[in-house]
Amino acid sequence: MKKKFRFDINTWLPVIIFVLIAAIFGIATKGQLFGPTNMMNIFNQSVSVLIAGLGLIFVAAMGSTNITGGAIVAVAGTLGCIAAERSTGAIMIPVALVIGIATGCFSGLIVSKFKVNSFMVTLAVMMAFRAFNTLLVNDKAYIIPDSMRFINNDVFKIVSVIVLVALIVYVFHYTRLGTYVRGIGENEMAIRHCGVDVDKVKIAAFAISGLLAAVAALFTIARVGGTNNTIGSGFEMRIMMALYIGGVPVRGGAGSKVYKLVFGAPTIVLLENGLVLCGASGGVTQLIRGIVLLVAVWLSGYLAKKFVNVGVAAAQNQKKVAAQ
Amino acid sequence: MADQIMLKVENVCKSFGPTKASNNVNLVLKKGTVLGLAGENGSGKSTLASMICGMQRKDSGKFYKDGKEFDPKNPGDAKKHGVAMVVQELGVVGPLTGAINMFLGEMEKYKKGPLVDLKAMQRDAYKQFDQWNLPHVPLDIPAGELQIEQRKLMELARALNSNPDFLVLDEISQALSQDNRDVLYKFIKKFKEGGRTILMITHDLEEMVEICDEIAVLRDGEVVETRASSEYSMEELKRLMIGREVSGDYYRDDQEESYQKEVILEVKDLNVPGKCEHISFELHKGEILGICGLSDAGIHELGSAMFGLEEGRTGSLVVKSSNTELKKPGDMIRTRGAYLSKDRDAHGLMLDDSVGDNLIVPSVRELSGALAFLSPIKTRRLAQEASEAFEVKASGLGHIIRRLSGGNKQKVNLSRWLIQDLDYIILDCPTRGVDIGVKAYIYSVLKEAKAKGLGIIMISDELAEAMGMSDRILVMKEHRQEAILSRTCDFTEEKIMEAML
Repeated sequence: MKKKFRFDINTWLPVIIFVLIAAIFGIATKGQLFGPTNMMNIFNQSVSVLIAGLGLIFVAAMGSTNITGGAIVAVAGTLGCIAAERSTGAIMIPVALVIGIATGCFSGLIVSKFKVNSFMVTLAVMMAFRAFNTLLVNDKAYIIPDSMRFINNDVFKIVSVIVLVALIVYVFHYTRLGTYVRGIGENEMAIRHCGVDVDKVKIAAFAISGLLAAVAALFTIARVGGTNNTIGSGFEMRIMMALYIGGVPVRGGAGSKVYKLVFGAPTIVLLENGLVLCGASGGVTQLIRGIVLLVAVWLSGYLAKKFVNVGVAAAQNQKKVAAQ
Repeated sequence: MADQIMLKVENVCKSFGPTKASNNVNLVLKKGTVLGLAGENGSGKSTLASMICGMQRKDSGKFYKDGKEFDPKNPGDAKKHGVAMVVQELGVVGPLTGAINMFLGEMEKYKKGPLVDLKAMQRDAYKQFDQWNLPHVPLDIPAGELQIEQRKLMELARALNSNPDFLVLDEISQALSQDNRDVLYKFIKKFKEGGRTILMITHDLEEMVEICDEIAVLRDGEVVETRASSEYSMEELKRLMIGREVSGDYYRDDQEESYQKEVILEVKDLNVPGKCEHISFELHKGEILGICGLSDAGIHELGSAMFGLEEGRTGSLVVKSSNTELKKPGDMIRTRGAYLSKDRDAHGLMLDDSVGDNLIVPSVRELSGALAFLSPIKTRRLAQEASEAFEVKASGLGHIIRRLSGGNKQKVNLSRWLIQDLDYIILDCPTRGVDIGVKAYIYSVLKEAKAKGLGIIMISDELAEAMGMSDRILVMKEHRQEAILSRTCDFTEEKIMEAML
């Protein structure tokens, strides 16, 4: 059998959307978009979204959702800063990460053991954490200790992003945990019938998503310089947008791929950045963001369906050939 | 009356892309008769049926009903013309109760002020059951919680709601156990006595010859033969369907109980109240243990209880080789066992995923290397081996499962487990919804596995299958173990039925 190269639009969609948006705003801003300072800006803004998305993809692959991202950024950041103020600066890192993992484990536990819808569980956690952060901060602002400012160093950020992406690609695509989370998105009962402890897998997925949200928190507060009571608000929506605009299926499953996020994250930052450079107001930016997300999600769902049909036609062809 | 024509199908064609699902189909269905559609999986039986019922549009050709041209645009339109259908897949809205499911399209009838009169609805629903002598199923719980069998009966009653004179039954008996099949046969008889017509699709050829007046054989979308069912011999029918000779040995040909002494699995006093109670038996190396019972006997629950999915299970299951007690589903997999549910689509396969992904899922634990590394080369090789060993007909490992025929789906489902080095396996209706070609293939695979020493528990709705394949049969009655019969001396239909009833 000759192996033919088949151009599969579904695979390339995230890249196409990315290039399309880059081209549109590149022209609209007369190349301003691609200026070195602006490029660095785009990278900087993408880092946190991308890192948190690397965690969320485990939950999204199961067809679940976790909207605690922004709230974890706030609480992990604030508590980290408070801890750092009272002892050494380095304590910030373990404090933030532990908060992230613990929150993830808690959400995962409620979702799996008590069978509560993940959106509702994480909505509740998010609201509680937001309130908690407001109480903690109480109109003050906490400043990140000087010893921790290295996190915002460009080289450190680039290296971290590369290492984390590689690590998550490995765990998500080359270990059984990844196979299981995608399998749960496809058919949870099937995975249960394979003898897998589905509850454990769910808790692990939520824990990873909490952990990486905490890592994103460190990068966010390092960039901003500290925390206040609005830090990270709306962040969870941007993470989800990065995933879904990149073509990760909302229902989860086999179509969940890390590379889609890697293109999705800079795509939304490009979009926002480009609109700002064009002089669009905040409201217009939000509106266009919404429209683009809707189109992207519709398009990837539509194409996925098409793709399945193409599979059948190909199979039938083959059957005919075999029969002859 | 039998000479009057109910429905005429004239030169009907339907293509999906390059595939011709129906190719110039011509059929005549007379009033007061049952026409059987025979054919392998994918021969176009369901497509033809769904076009008649308005679920799909035909590309060309014509239908005539009662002499007038009939071109249903949707199932509601077909219903108005007296055509109703019970679909092959389960067609219920899971979270809604049975009663609501039955009258989904006719809610206005039960309006009581701003509310819906559920009581009246339920009363009317049961009236429908009684009118046709169907056994009652609970209609006040969500339809999704009913057993497949009960759901099928409910769907049948629902199809009868519109008082149709033309009914399509697509593989309904596959989901039914022996006693309810008898109910169905009685129903069919009564239905056609009123001058009505049934188009029946079934893989059970013996049933088809017995029930249908005429049989049309479909192959690759074309009608290759139509005549009275009494004029077919079983061998001829099989040959026409497949297009070549099928070998005679289907089941086992030995008449002796034969297995090794070594006990693989010991079940002691397994008990799930209301589902399967006080079950004890031993499974030996190289044994096929059949499990039979009437519809509510609890044979399917016994399977899921052994696997560890039923709540409140007591008693013990011990795997003898390692002396481990099975508690959770994972324990069975770790002791080199497996369980395949009756509901292959809902519990077994990831329908929208590829053949390859489905094949490797049960084995990813074994395939994981250092640092939990799952080598794509190893997984691909395994998937390739499994699909080749079981002759899965697909365009490749990337083929989406949903688009495979029932037989190939089951091949994927079985092969991914049997390719592992298992000690024992529990199969719940392994040949449900597959055609005779695949059925024969599955039996040959099971015979081979038995020879290699695999202990097989085969839960089966088909008595012939259980008798043909098992060394011993455990008969269940009203959730309890009634008898264990031996192939050597007890395998007659009378003896088994006696234990069942």
